[in-house]
Amino acid sequence: MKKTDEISQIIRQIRVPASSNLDERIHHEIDHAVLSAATAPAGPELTFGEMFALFLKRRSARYTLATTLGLAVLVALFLIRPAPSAWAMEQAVEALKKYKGLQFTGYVTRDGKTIPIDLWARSDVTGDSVEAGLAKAGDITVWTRDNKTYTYDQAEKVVYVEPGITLGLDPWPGPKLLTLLNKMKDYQALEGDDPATGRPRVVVTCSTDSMGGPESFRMEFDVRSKLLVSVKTWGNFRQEGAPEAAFEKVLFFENLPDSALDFQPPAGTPFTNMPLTIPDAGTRLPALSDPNCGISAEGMTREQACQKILGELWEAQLHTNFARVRQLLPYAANWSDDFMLAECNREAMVQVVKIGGIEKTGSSNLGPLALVPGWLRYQGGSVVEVWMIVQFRETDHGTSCVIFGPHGYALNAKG
Amino acid sequence: MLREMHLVWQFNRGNTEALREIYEEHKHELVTLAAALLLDKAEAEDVVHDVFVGFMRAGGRFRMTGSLKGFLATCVANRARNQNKSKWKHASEESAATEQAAPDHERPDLAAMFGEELKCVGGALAELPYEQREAVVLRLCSGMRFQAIARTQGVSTNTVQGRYRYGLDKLKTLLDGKLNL
Repeated sequence: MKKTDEISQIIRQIRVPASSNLDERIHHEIDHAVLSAATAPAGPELTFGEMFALFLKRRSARYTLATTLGLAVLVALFLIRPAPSAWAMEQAVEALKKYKGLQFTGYVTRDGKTIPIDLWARSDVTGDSVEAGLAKAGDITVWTRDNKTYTYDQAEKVVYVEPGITLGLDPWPGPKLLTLLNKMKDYQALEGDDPATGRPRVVVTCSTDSMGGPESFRMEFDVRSKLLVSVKTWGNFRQEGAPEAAFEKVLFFENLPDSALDFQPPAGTPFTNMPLTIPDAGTRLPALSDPNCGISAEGMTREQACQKILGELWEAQLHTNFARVRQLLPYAANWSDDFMLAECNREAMVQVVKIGGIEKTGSSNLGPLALVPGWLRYQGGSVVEVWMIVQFRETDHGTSCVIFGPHGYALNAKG
Repeated sequence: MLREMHLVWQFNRGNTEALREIYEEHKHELVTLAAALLLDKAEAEDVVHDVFVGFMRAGGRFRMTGSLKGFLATCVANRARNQNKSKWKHASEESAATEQAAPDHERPDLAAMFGEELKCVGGALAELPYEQREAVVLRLCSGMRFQAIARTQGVSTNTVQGRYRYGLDKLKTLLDGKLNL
């Protein structure tokens, strides 16, 4: 029989080298750690007000998705409300239909500082999605091109690139959106006259949940033109405290030339990938850490867990099992069945064609993140590519995962 | 030690080259440790990955109270223990429905991981209760003191020494006649 010290010696001889795959993963994380070390971490969709605050301290313009979506929702919501004024849905649809471009001008407040912001966007020919956009605030400029979103940080002299259109305005405030928005609730509308111009105005207040947490809005509409003229947003449900953003001027254009949306960073500026993270994930959206949300990932690789949870989400969506959707996608937890149904009809997904592998990894304060593409067939046969962010958690109940939400919005897939 | 302190100092100031150096310096040891604890290389690398991601997040506020190697090894051990618990729970839930798995010493992945020569060591480690395996591996692969292992396991030093001794004795029995040194 061998002596104990011989056994000890044998155990000490064990060597399991790190693989090149691990090296790659770690160096990838380290590359992104540079970004988070230098400033507050960038991340996916935040609140409406933070859409622009993002430009100040964060590099990602993807926050604009949720924020501008909120705006669009509320615009249409107001327009379709059987209001005390003489507005009707048809009129609202007609009013919006002819506008393919818009500009917001205003300011955002961040850390007590007020920063001006300017956002331009143009819808595609269908009037359902943003085709191109350009936003400038402080040192940050965000623009879209070829289904990618670029963020130029003048202070760091670098351009961050991410797949998809994360600039916002999804869905574009067009006719198709109205059906969805018709199902929204929790708003008030007051009608009065603007003392400065004498024109009748309607002020709408509303709050909603977004991927970034609670948001509330106060929006002013011109009764005659049926268009939005100003908006303020807060990062809470009750319009408390100073607004995160205030847009004092909103202009609609029948079209916008490319030159209005063009941006070129200085020659030689390096391009790098935008890191994947969710700032303050557990705080902003506490349900993300709720063990009752999501699925167990025990005994599965992360890739298998992503495939499973996304498959279940889309299956639930196909079968209008909204309770399951809310459980897998907690930011939709407070959406009504009517709103969900409208959302399903808007998306009109008929088949899950394929769920891809993990394209990109990152992390939030809750644990690892994975970005996973999926291909969905919509009514009419078109196939769109979507990216979803899956959050992994380690809890007392073991490893589990939950869907944070979409990363940008659907693109038409080739073929 | 001074070099390590300097690396940590640089890391806390956002120097990613320092972070890379820390990773390069410790990666093989940490993967070895995790692999010896979990007996699965893919899981081991996931654990090391997560430990480094967690470590990166501490950038700017990380305070080194002992050795960096010891700190990282403890993190790996803690994560591996959680991972092992999850795996065990999952396996016990499914054991009734699945076929009998191959005995640990016959697992082909152990040869791939530890090499043909030491595959029986992996098999023998797999036969140990996890606490004993952890005590043996942390002591021998990471050179951790019994006191530090005791803190990690949340038990007394005597208990750790007992686990280590019982673990080695069992290994001695299991490996008898299987290795030629």
